[in-house]
Amino acid sequence: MRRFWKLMKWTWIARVGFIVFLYLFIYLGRPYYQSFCFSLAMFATLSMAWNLVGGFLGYVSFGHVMFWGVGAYVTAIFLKLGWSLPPALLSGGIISMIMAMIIGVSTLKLSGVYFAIGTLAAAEGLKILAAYFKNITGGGGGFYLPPVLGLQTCALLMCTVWAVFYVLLCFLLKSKHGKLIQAIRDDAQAAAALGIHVFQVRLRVFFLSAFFVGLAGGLYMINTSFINPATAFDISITVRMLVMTLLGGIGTVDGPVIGTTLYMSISELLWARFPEVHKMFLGALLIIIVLFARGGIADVARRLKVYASS
Amino acid sequence: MVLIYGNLLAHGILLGSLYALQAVGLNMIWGVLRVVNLSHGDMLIYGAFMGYYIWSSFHNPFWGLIIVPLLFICYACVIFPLFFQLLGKEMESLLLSFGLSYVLINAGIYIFGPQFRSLHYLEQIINIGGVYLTLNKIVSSALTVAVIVGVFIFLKYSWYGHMLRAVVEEINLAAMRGINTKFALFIGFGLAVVLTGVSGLLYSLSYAFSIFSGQQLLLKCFAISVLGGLGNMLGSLVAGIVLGLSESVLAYCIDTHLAELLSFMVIIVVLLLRPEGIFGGRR
Repeated sequence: MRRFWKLMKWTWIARVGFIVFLYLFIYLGRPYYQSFCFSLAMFATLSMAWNLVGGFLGYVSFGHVMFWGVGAYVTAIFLKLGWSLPPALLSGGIISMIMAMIIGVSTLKLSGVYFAIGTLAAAEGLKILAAYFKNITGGGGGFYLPPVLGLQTCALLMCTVWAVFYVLLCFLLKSKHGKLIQAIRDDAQAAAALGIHVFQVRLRVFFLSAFFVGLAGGLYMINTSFINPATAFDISITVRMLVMTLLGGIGTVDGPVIGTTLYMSISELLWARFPEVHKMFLGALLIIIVLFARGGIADVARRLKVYASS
Repeated sequence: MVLIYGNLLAHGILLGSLYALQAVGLNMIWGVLRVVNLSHGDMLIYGAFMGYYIWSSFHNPFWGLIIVPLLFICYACVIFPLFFQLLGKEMESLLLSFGLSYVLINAGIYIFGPQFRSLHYLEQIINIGGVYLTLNKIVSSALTVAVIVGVFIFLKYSWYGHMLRAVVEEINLAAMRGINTKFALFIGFGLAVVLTGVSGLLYSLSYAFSIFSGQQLLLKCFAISVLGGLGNMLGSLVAGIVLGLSESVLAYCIDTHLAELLSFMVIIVVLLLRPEGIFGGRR
């Protein structure tokens, strides 16, 4: 028991230390590092949200980028209507949740294949819809906003959203609700037999995930002041969420954060060297992880520990 | 007025038969390996690009009917062990096919470039009682129907077809009867991959395509499979023609953008109301 507490303490020191480090970096660093930290915090949020659905529910989503795009568009539209920043951001998150409700109600009762394709289809469909309604979204040409906040403020906000999500997730998974989620992932039928409302729990988790992805999308929009359908519903963002989560370890709390940090550092080096084919490496990395290291870094580390102790 | 609808009907049916062949490939891989192959659309587009290059070098894309199957069998030989290793693991094989799709798209951008391509072959216009059709559409649809019928006959009556169906039905029992299950699954997988390549080739005869069209074609194939019931071949045949018809009617009557949206609507609505497909079948 004492060993457990010792371990827990170190995990928490590492988590809080990483958050504080990121904050300090944004305060003191040059704009390049600030923008790097913005992307890091954003992708950490996205991959944690993906992991919540893909890792803890066992439903692989290939269209998570749609919540990001919806969040970005809704925030932009409300800002243009003259709303102030906090309600615009929140409504971005909430409308993402409504999207999640539409997708979730139709596919979360079925097996994972249907969910996967349903989300993929929804993201592609939204891309066409966003290009079609020209008078609301600006069509294929994109949507411009006057700059609202500076880079540093944006990065701090993004970092705060991420930190809140991270801490919330840590406590959520320790709580009764977290145990329900894990029970359902391990054996949905047994959980249903014990009287857990499986569908409802799944839907709630999906909502939470969509909400934070929507917030991240809104903040991205505020940072770049421009969005068009091709970026807002770009499938490569979904791929990045997948790869980062799988790299760090799917179904763990800290895995996505570790994966994101590692991936962002590697990709910063890679795409400067190979601008044309670095996306291909992403796909190849995904295949290699799925075939040879299914648990990601967390699993490799555990195996190494077992190997060292034996 | 009647003539316009006659034209729409004819084009819809021709387009629908192409869709049906594309969906048959997706459905077969689902039936054989229990994985929705998310790289299906990109394989199709690779077949289409092969058709384009064969046309531009030999001036006759029908050489592709020999070359494309050979190349796709080689591809199947490379890919099959990966999928076989993950047999029965739904999530992992989905992720694998997704990674493959991503690699194929980006390699394709590098090799073929991002432009739209189209073939100009057999473009004579034929007038059948006021319905105007180009010859290439008729030829590609006729070939499509021939290929589908051929595959049905192969699966229903040939020895390999019996073996494959036995393995898909009950893999352990088939293994006990002395069937080499891995080989049987490879036959099914290879057949599906070749079908996909050939349907891409036939698609390239009459429609323009770019490397990015793969995603949309995949989703259309999935809409067809969901509508007809996943794993139900005959259902996907009917559903393909239904989708092709309704797309061409919708594009004429309302808007072409909404016609593109139709397949996504179909997926969401069918999953919501009747997930086993309108023609029954298993979930």
